[in-house]
Amino acid sequence: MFPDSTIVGSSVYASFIPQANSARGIKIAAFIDGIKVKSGVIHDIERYPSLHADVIKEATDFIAPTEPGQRRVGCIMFAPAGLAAEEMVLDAFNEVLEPLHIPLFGGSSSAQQDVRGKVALNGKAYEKSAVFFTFELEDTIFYRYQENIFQPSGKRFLVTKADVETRTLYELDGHPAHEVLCRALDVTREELPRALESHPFGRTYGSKLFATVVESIDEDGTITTLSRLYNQTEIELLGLVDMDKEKRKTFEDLHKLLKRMDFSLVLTSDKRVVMLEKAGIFRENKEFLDAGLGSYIGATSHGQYLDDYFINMSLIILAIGEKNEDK
Amino acid sequence: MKTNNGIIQTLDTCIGCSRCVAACPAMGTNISVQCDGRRLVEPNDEKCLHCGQCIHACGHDARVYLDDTDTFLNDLRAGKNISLIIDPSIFVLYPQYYHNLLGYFKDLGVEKIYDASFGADIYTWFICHFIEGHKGSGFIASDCPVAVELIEKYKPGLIHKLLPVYSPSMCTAIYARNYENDPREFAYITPCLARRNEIDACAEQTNITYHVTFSKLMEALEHEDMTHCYAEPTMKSEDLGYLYAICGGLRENIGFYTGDHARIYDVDGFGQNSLHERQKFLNMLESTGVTYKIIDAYSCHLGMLGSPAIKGGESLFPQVVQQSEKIRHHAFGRAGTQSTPKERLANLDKKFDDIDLSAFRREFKNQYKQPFKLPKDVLDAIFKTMGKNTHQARHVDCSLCGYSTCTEMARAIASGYAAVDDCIHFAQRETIRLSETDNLTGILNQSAFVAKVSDYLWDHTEDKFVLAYLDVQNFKIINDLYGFDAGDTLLKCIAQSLSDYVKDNGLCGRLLGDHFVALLPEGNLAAHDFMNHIHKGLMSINQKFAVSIDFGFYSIVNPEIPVAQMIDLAHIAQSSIKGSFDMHWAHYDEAMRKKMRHEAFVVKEMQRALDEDEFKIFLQPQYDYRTNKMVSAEALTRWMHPGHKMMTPDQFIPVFEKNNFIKKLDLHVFEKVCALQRRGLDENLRVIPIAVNFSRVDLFSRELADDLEVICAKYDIDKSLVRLEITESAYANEPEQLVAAIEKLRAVGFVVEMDDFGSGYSSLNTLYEMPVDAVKLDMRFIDGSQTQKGRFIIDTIVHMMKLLDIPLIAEGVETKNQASFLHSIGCNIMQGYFYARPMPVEEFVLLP
Repeated sequence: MFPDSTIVGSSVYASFIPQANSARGIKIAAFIDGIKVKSGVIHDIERYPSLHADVIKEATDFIAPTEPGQRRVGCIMFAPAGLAAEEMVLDAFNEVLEPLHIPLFGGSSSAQQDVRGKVALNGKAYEKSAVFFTFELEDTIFYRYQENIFQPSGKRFLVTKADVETRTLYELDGHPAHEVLCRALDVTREELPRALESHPFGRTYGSKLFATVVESIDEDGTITTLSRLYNQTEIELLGLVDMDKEKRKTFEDLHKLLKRMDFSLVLTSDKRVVMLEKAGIFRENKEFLDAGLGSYIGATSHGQYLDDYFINMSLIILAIGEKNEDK
Repeated sequence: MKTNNGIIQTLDTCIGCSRCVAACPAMGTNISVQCDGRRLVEPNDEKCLHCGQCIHACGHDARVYLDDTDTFLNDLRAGKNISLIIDPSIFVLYPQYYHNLLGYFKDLGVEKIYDASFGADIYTWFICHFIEGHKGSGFIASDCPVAVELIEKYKPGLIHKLLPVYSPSMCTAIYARNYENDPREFAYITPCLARRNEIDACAEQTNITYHVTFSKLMEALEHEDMTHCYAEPTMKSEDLGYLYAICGGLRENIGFYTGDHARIYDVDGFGQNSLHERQKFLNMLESTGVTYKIIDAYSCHLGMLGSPAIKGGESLFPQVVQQSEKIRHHAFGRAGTQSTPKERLANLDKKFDDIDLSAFRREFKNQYKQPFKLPKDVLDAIFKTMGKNTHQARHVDCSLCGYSTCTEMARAIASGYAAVDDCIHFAQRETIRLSETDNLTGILNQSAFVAKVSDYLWDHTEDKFVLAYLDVQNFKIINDLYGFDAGDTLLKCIAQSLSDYVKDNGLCGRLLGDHFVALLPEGNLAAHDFMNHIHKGLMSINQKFAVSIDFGFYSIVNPEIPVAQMIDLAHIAQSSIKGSFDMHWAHYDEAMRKKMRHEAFVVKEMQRALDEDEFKIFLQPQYDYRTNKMVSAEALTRWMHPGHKMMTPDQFIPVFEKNNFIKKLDLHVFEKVCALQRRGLDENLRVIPIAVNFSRVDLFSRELADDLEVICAKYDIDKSLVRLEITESAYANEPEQLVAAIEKLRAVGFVVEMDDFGSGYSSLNTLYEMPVDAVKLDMRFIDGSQTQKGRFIIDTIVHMMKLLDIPLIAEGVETKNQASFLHSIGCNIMQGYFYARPMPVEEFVLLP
């Protein structure tokens, strides 16, 4: 029907829009006007996405030079999860986008259990490629927001042995990581995976706090995480904050920034959705989004991309609308 | 990541000196590991290029490589039919040994021996035709496996520039299998340890199983006599194929067949480049390609002569040059001096006209993996861990860790390739820090605190400081009741609170046990604020028991006095309130200074005074009101110091009790009293019982009763003539031990009196528990006799003593009214100024 349109897609664990009660099924959002886009595919993301950085460069050639902090030009990107490639993809994009002051927003595509996530661009699906589009808003601006439902617990550890490339954590404070965590959370080895669902690792970068989720714990106690942990850096076990309060803050902040909200793209961690589902408060949370955002499309992602950072267990919002001139 | 499981391995002799790190051209190959408390550097085969530079660099013979020499020889000797490929370099290096070696293998049953110089001709032939058909430039020779792996792993953009042909040895193996139809397993004897990679990469095209290196083979065959052996290779080059054994061999070969030597550039020894230089080299490969048709890059210096798998190495250079010349001479002779390159190539075409060139075409694999960028925050965090907090500290770039810059080192640490203590500066600082740190709490230990306070005061001469001394009340009991963990947690908590409070404005440290010290700016010190902060910290650990801390403060007036003395002064202030229920802090002041000086004087003089008999006995008589006669007396001590006025017991007894000198003094007085009684008996004077005061400190001495008995025996005095007075406050602590001590004294016949009853924390229970023979009622109660209430209390006590059948002596009786009152209520034995003051012995004996 629209053969010249740019169509970007991603498989998800769940998706949601205000009108739909089901978290399953395909959800589509279309921009008809007010935006210019250019898209591309980055291949070989599990090995060397940077070698294809020229594709990203090409997709920015229609954008006039921008200033830091601008809110009209951005890049949205989706890449399959499960390749341990997210940080490399991020490096490849930021190599091009950072000097141009173009913010990045995106997610690694999640899927139902045991199914590898895929992304798609203009009718082609990819398993080891990232799809993206750069955009320039004509009459509106956007704000990006990261909602963090975790807070530091005060239990801090030094990563003393980790394989950064494979995202494997072996030791904390010079002791086997799983033993240290069992002791800190006062749980048995068997109870640890469950306990870590609501106590991800936190990394503090400046004033920002980012969560890292534990993907799996092997029988030998080796822990695989969803994002990289670096040796000789500190991590902290996180605990849940008052979620209602945090959500109210999210929408209050957004409404302060935008006088009128036209549309929002919401990416939320699939693990977070699972956690909410288990707690029986997923619907309640969705209703919160419905009430707070107006028109939006939401999707789960394994991890979330926000400029330089690949983060987990977070909810990020890209809201488009009219700027509140007071702010 | 797995380490030490590849071709190159680390032995136990490694001392972690990092030379291998510095020598390695591939980041992440050398991993710093801890093994049995030692640091080793082990190779990660996944990243290793197998160039062997680390083997050269290692000064401790800790880096070795593995090959298949032993397996090959064992299999061969077991009768396995193996074909050989011999690298031409063996002919160049050891021309005499070459034929003997081949003969030796023939004797062991090897039927086919292919000299790889034969494959080298195919290699040359392929390249000649390739460059003829490809207009581009900057092609890179693919003979050196390290160069190939370097490009495949780190510079995939150059893969299309690699000449797409197998190396001479692999061409030989392919030819042998495909055209000689040799089905056997092959062993490849080579000077190159990196050939293992190529063998594995070409496993489908060749039958090579064994990777046999020269040096290992020569080592294994060292004692074999081969002089009688001789054989020629089954196949070998008749042209310049042997020249591939030396650096520049490709240039000579291509020049021979194309006449164009100039457009081939030789690079040897690029493997010796450091990590930093490697990138430069790869960039150079790109740029030099503009000018040169082919770049012939060898990892080893002087080609294979620089290989760790060659014994003798560069010392063989003259021999190699000589042999190369012979090969050239032979090849040119065969080709004819008048022949043109074109004719030579035509001859080569003819030689290989039956083989399919495509069988020798090699595809290269892109093994590149994008290195990750380290977030700036991570780099900062690592620098902070390493104590590198300034720009200067982050750019020491001394390379002693093996990495060329501190930033590269930090990257290696983040990646898990290096450890923070691989940085010698960090290790040095850490050693100092550990020597200065209290193990349990992490704050300064005593010696470091003293040293640092001294420096700190020197650096802040304009500011005023206070030294605080902290002591946890009853810490021993906390340990006893709640365990050492609870005690340790408490100490850590105090240390943390101190550390948080002083921040960068002072210092804090732990002395021994539960004693802490802090240097605080005087201007900011509000003692209550400081103490509140510490107590708030204690509340944060949610102790199930109450913790109280005594604080002593000393304002530093003279920063040049020894820090240890400052600590002592703060300690004196703290000690002054020790044991107090309501006082928890004290500031060192002039009164304490005077007291301290007085105490120091007393301590200095006491032994001398005892030796010189300066402690004199004063006796105060005790009278029976009814008869108005003296019935007994109390001996009191006065210190008649020659330079001072007479000192009363309150001026020296507390000091003696602190340092236990009191034991000596009390025995001294007791003996003097015994001597006095002896004299009275001997001179037929009136002899009445005299009471001697004993400190509670004496009662803890197991020998007290024995010592007193010995003295009594010495003067032959009946024990009833020397009574023992023990002050009531002595009973407050450790009553069980005191009861036992008193019982022992009474059991041997001494009369024990409880002195100063009513002055301390007396209770009826004390009276009940203590097995005393008499009680002396304190004068303060007598003071109370002026009031109705006071009189009533005294009356009751006297009545109670009667009921208990304990004799009562009233002391401090100063007026007639007091004496009358006491008599009226039934207390008749009295002592006090109303009757007589304490007096020297000489006066006492004259009393009626």
